[in-house]
Amino acid sequence: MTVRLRGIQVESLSKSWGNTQAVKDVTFSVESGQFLVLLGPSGCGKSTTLRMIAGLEPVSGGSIHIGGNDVTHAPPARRGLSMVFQSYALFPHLNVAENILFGLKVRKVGRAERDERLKRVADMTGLSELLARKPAQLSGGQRQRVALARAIIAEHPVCLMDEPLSNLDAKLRHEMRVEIRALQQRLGMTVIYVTHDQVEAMSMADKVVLMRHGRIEQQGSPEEMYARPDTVFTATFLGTPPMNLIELADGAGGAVIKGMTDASVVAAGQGDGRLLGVRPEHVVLLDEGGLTARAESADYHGADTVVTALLGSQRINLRVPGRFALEQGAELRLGWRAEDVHFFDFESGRRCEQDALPRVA
Amino acid sequence: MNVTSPTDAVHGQGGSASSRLTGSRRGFSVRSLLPLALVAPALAMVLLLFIYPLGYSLISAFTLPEGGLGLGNFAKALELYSRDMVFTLVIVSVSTVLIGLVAILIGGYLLLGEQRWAVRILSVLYRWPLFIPFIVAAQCMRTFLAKNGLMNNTLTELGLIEAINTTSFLDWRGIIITFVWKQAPFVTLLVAGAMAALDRATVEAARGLGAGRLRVLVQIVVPQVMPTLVVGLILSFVTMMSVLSVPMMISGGHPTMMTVDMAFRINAYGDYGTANALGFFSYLMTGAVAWIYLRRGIDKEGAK
Repeated sequence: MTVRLRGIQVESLSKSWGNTQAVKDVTFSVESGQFLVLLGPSGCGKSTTLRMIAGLEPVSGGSIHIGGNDVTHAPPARRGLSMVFQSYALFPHLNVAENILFGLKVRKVGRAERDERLKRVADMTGLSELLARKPAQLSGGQRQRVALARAIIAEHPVCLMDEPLSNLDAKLRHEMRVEIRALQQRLGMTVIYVTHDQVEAMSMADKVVLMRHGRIEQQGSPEEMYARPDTVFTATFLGTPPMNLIELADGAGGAVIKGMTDASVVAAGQGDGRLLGVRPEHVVLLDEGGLTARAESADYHGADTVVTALLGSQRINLRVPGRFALEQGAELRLGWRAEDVHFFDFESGRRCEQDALPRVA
Repeated sequence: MNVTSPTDAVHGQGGSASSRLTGSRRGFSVRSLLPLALVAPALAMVLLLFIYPLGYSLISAFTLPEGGLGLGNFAKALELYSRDMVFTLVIVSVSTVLIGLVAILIGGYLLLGEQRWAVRILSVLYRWPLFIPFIVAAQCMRTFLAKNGLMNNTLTELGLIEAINTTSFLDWRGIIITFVWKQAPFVTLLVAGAMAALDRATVEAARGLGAGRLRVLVQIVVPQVMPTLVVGLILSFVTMMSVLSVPMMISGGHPTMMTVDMAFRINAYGDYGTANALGFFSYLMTGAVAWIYLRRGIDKEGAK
């Protein structure tokens, strides 16, 4: 079973309720067969954007094109898309088969074709044994599969998903992430997926659109956004633990870490009003040289340990493989490579270019 | 200087323990009586104002005018008023069905309507009849539905009918119209509340799958609010069975409703026996409706 390929273009989309503007000038595009994730914290406008694309919320400004057709003001059923809701939105009085087939019955698809499609989709989603059950008799994961099956059976080229895994436990969420991604790739569907979970976004997306306060903060591939964040918000939203942001100050010969008695120069040029960003996995422990820090705590995760240390008065996290035997207050020598360092303007929070000095020979 | 001997101390302790025990027993009995004391006034009201009159009327229905127990009053009620019993059942049943339809339509529009101003106006307007007593509603309908009433005059003025062709609706149709007008808001209030409490995403999902508003209403919304709708309709059925003013004022002639017959037996003849026998048939009708509902609830629980 494959679906016709269709891309989506969203241009200058905005939504306001009275004086409250929930979505402001949002522009992005999704190519056919691409998996795009709208990511952001609660209240950032990602679900509202998705609902406008679905036709469930009238737009206040801008346009939406699906497969080249302007659907900005078209009713939901005319947009050629299916949707999976956070609450699954299963019809509680209908059994699994009736839930899955509802859309086909509405479209007056013949009985033989309905049965054939139901069998195929039920096999694909592992629901063949559960078709006669009511939603109340299913587990969270099974309900999620029914919602997916209902979206898949329509064979629409575009599928919208609004935080579909947020009601599942961590283990099931991981399994479903893999399944959804595999299904999307197998069927070649164009998917827009809303989540506040950066792990979901990083692991599933071909493209991530990070939103904040109704605007797009940054968009790009997960790798691009992780490796080269445009803003402090992107730098800290992606990654667990988030990127270390260390305040700099002007020093003799360049920028030094603010508040450090060991005033080693970490970057050429200005230090005041700048933040140095470095990811925990890029901070390394040195035998000699580097910057002196005091060990504060260690958070053992199994495969690695996240060590928190004080660099002067500023906290820094570093990820070390395996278990780390921490002696609280012990002196650590830390370093990083120049190419792993990012600089941001303290006031605007935006990325700025500056030459980092290598802290690891 | 007070010196307490070990024995005194033991006695003292024993005495206080004993008094604690007694106190706790007294406390226990008072505590156990408190709920009863709280429930007693309400229980007394139910016994005095409901159970006693109900029992008395049942006994009266089976008490023959010449004394002793028998089915004479029932035979007389059936002989004189069987047509009115059927008429009552038909009127109330048809009204119940129409009330259900009106409640679903209004509730459905409040949930699915796209003209926000119309939804807002309707949500205020539909409740008004709730605050009008049956007797006032009946008087309003008399002036509205009469041969030269507001409805016919308006239709004549609009040129839709000839004045000579106007007919009075002050008969069974008037009773039904009044009942529906008066009771539909009550059921709508319950149904609209249940609809508002539904997971909105189910409606949006159905719309997204291509269902029109009518299909969403009939296939998705109504089945989910059916328990609330049925409760509202049963309460309305029972209410309509007991209304006297509407049939009396809208259509006093024959056939008429059982409440009019009961009032007539008591006022004209002081015949409480036949009136209570008619009341017994009323209980049977409302009891049957309640039984159907309860059975349905039990079957559903069993299915779960």
